[in-house]
Amino acid sequence: MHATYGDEVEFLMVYIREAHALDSPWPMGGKDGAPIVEDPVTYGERKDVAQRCMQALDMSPMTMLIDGIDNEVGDTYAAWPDRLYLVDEKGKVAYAGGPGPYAFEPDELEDAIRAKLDLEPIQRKPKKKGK
Amino acid sequence: MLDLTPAALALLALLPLAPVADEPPPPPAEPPQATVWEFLVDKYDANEDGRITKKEYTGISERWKLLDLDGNGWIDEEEVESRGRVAKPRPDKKKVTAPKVGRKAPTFELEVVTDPAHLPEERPDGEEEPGKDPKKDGKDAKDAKDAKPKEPETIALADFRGKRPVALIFGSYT
Repeated sequence: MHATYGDEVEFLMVYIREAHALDSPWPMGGKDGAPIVEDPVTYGERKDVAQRCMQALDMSPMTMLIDGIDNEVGDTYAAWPDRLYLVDEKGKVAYAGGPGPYAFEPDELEDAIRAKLDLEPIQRKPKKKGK
Repeated sequence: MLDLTPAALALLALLPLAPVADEPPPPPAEPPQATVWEFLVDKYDANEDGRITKKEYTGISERWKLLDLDGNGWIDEEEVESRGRVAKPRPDKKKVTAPKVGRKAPTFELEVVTDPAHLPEERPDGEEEPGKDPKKDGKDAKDAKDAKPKEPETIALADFRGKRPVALIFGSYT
């Protein structure tokens, strides 16, 4: 998506509070395949983990910003654990995705981008709802 | 291959396509790690007795309570590996409301995270960069030494007003 629309849309990854730190109420990591991360308690710790993330997922084509350890921006956008938004040139919310993980839908963001850029919508197969 | 969480997989969907076939993939940034217990014991088991006591644990006390589930003052491999998800409410109980479509997006200005792979290599003190003449560049070196530390780069959402739309992707490594 970044490669396709990056010339007309600015993509900003905002690194927020961990979703599944090993010492959190929802621990993941290690044998289940997820990265092992202790919940950062300082800004420097969060920055270190953000850099690990950037390298491991090879995200350098995109700009990554880091939220303060007080989680102010993440909380303002109700972003935890993950969420997508599109902000238009006037500074207004053009698309507000649902909270992740289950409502985190990159296809919806792409549809919003294409609508903003006056591009033809992509015909997608309707998603099957889980039983 | 690095197994990824659903959120990380979704984030990858936003990235450019993979390099062409003859370009080798970049090396993984982290060494492979086996278990949470191996991570913890490597970091905290100071006396290497196979247990981590509260005294050895140098993290904050609130985090210890999430590890020492039986509250006996120490944790071992069995206790750590048997942890499942703890059905507790979110750490903060603030009610949060997402910004709505059509409303003004909350402003922010945040620091840019720099990929360590793209930072200039740090050299030991006294070692000059190849091709540089320390005598000729003496003044430059002094000026560099006396220069104030570079301010971290920041980006504000307002920087793009009147210019282009902004896609915001909120998430974390886990």
